[in-house]
Amino acid sequence: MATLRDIKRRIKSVKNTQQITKAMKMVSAAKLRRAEEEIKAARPYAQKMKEVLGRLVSRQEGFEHPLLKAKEVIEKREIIVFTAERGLCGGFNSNIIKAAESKIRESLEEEVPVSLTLIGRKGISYFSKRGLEVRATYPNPGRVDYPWAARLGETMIDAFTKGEVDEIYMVFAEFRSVLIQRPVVTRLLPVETGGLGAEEGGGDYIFEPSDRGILNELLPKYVNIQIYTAFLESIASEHGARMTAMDSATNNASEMIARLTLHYNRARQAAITKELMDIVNGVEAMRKRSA
Amino acid sequence: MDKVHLEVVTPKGIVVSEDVEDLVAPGLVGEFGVLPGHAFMMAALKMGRLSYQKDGRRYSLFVSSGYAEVDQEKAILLVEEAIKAEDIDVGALRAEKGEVEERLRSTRPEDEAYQDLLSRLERLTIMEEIAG
Repeated sequence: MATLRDIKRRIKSVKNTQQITKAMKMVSAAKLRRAEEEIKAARPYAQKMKEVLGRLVSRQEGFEHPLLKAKEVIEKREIIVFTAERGLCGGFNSNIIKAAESKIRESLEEEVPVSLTLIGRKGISYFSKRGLEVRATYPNPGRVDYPWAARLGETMIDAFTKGEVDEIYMVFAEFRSVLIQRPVVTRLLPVETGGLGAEEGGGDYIFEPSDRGILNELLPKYVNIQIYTAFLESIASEHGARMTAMDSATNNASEMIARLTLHYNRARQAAITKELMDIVNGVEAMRKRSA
Repeated sequence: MDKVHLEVVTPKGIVVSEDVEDLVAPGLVGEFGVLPGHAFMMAALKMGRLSYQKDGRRYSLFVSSGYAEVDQEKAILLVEEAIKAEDIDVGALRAEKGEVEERLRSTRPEDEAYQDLLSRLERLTIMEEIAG
């Protein structure tokens, strides 16, 4: 049986752990709030961009643009995987990795070779040992700024237009709520026009320089904003997942402390009873002898 | 209707949302002005100065390339970056510009970084002009 001192030591160590998980939860909560604000701030731009592109594309029957055109034969599929830099965030990283793996498996079954762009240390360390082609790796900067996303967008557009890859997908965690983050797989390039929502003709517009000219300008920006929002979602999800994980860790620690304290008190009581019995026995024995 | 509702939207949020008397935007094929009652228009924008008048005062912004949509009562600009003239840190700007110019002198046109430096310099020059 554990001695009193052993139990006391365990309680202390669990308490220490609890302090850490509590602090981590609080830090994640603060970061999550910031990430949510950034998502909200980006929404009008992303929304409007989608709307405008939808309107322009639907006006243009048979319009061909390198970023819109699906290749007839897919010879290479690029998958961008957004993971976190660190663990301790529940199933966040493994869910993303699982989703990415199933996309990879699907591609290989179609006999389409896959290359990867990995963001975040967790994804990098997992996939770099899997014998897959890794085109690029980036550490997860933790906080995204738009220029970062735009640079990645440029790299992707470049690879796509040069024909190095024929399709580009993104795998990231979509932020639903603090409790729910869903891994999603979306196509980045060629740009999906189906989801843009075609609008009615919109009457007579003046176009400067021309509707095609505007589309040329906007399509790359649309790719950028998609990467940017995927990134924001992924970061918010990470903090949400970590917050939830740390919250339940803190609760578990509380439970464990309660259980250990009960043990401790029982053991203490048993020890006292035993001592008392010893004393009483001793006194009884002495009394008998003197009698 | 004697006002245009101007909205400047960036990925970081809405930078301007105001009723203005007029505005001048840097179109891809040349500057254009917008007064209340303007015809429907969609335009591509290039990096430059967006200026508008409100209550008789003129305001300027630095905007990156993007898109503008105008109708009779509003003008919506989608740009990747927008900074109000008064928010431009001229000191930091000059320092950065000096550094870019310095690096440009030691870079040859065929170097990979050359184009990048040139476009940075252009951006900084435009910003300086707007701030000053």
